[in-house]
Amino acid sequence: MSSIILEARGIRYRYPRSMEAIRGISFHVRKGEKIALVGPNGAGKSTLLMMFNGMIRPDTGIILFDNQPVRYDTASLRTLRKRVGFVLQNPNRQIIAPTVYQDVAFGPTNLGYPETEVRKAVTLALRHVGLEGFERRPPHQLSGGEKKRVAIAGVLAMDPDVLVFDEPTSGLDPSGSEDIMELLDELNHGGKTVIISTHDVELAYPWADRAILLLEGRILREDIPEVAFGNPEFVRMAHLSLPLLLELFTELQKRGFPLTEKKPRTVLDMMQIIETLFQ
Amino acid sequence: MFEELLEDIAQKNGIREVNTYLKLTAGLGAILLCLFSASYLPPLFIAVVLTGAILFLARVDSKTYAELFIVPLWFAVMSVAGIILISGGQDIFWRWDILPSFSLSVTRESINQGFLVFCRVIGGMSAMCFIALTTPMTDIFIVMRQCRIPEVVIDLAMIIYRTIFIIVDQVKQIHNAQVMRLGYSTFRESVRSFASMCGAVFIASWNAGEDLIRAMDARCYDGKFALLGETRPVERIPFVVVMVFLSLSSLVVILSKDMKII
Repeated sequence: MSSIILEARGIRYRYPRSMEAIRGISFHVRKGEKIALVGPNGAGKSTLLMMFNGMIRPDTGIILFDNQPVRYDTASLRTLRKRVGFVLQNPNRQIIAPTVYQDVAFGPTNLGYPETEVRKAVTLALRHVGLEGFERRPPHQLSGGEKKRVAIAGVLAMDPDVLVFDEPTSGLDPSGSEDIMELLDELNHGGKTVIISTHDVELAYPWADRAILLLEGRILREDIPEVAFGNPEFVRMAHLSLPLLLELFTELQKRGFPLTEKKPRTVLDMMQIIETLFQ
Repeated sequence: MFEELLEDIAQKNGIREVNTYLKLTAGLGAILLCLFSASYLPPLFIAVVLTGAILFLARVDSKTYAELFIVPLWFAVMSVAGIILISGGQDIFWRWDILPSFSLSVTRESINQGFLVFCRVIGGMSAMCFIALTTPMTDIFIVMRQCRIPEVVIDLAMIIYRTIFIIVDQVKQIHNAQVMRLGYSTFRESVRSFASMCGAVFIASWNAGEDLIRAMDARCYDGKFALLGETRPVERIPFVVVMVFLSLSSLVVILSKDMKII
């Protein structure tokens, strides 16, 4: 098993003049994992994510990155933010510069790369997200999906080890969402650790290595998706719904069909189960 | 909204790829020549040539261009009417003494003067439109940096440019939401709605500013904005065209020095 890259130990956080958003959370993320933080609105997903790159400092508890406690002085934060890339939910909020090239080049330039290297990083990042030839376009002329990709490219250009996505598919059409999820998979294959937050169970279920169910600032469940989403009671408690495949599987089980122990993650898995059933 | 429209046209115009300096030289040179010219002919000549360039080279839709032109034209007509009535001269055509020490008159000189100003406005307007419709802001930023305008100014300009579109979008959304709930049905109501929209947009832009700082911090902001791409090389044909245009216009300025309309 690979080493731990991010860890939270007993963190709590309260927004000023507001109720506690995070109420004691501990967990860890290993290198190269795909983690989905799943929970209803207001569960504290975004707040938790913001702690990973030091945008929010927990009131109590510590965050460890690469087994070192995160320090909050400017220099340490810079190093942390170079290694933990954060993609905001709303790309309009993340895109700063007047052209795509400038925006993607923002991170590398501020990290002090020489210009040729900046150019290389930008080209590579744009190729990664499939936006070659968009360099001179202004962001306000792009579609939602394209903006999202620009935001992702801007983070990729800094070559982080961990990528954090807050609601990566919000506001995208189904095919756009699929493209983004494929891109996340690709990045993961390239060795990056990917953490996403979402309330879309269908999205998280087939994708994640591990799912963390959050509710009211606490971890409700943390396990592989089959188990994390497997208990209808927990899922209902978290104001979520069972993944369709899982629901189908449990209903079949209830009706006494002799099924395999392995729960289906994808449609392909389900097909196999049905095929063995009828053989 | 207009500013969005202008930028969009500029981003897609037919001579976008021509070197920015050339386009700016043509536009600014034309404005200067309009100001130097002592007769009405050169500004008209410049207006015709640049309008042709806008319509046929940059392929801007003629209706859009006309709309763009008409609003300032009204201002021009009104100011020119003022000039004609107020400025005096020898050769009086019409005169009205309203007060003992103040009279309105139309003279040969005032008509000449008024018409010259009017033509200058048309010439200058077409030159401004030429720049606005063929040169996107993003290209002008590059020129600003190459002209050694302080970084702070350029960075600010770029952030403003980026934010305008976000805020305009918000204004549109709020306005639509208000219209849908009959926010502008009566005069009273529209005053109230407009005020609350202004308030909401102010808060929204404040938030946008905070988000901007956060977004920049998250990407290791260190006081640097990315270098911009390079400008296009100066190509021979556009260069020759601009030079011919400017020399022809100068020639017209010199030759038509003493020309008057009446």
